[in-house]
Amino acid sequence: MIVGLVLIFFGALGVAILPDLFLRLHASTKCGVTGTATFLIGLVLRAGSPGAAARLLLILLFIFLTAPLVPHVVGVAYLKERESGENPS
Amino acid sequence: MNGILSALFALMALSLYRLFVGPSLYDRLVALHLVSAEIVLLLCVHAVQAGRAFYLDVAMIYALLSFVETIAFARLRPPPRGGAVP
Repeated sequence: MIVGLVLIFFGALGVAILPDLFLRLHASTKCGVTGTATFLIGLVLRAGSPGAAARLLLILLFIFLTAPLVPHVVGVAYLKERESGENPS
Repeated sequence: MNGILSALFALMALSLYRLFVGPSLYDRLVALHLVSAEIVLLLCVHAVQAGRAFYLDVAMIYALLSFVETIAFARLRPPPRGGAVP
């Protein structure tokens, strides 16, 4: 859990201080996904009942499936808007 | 456990800074996704700490909704000023 917390800390720090959108996407994706996964694995080890552990594993699986998709879609939308000649507001 | 909770709150403040300051809509989307991931983790920690499993269901639905929300914002973005809907 502590390792996951440190990873999410770097992700949040990167999102807060990096200058460009793509750098922020990079920080958010990598640190967010790996940090969340490590954190949830630690929680699974500490979960009291098997039902809670199964739900935590389900959340972990869902986050693994969807979290890398979001920055991809955001990046594609940003690129489309930049290519269409408009200054992205 | 309490230290972990407060550390998660501090990280959420760090991400909320970008959510408020962020110059473009997409910066805010990235920060919003990170904040919702931290909220999911917060709910999971509280569920394990208090021994109440239904917070895990809440966390699951929140993860689902945050995914749908961010995708919808990125796909159905507002049209540029004075232009047609793309």
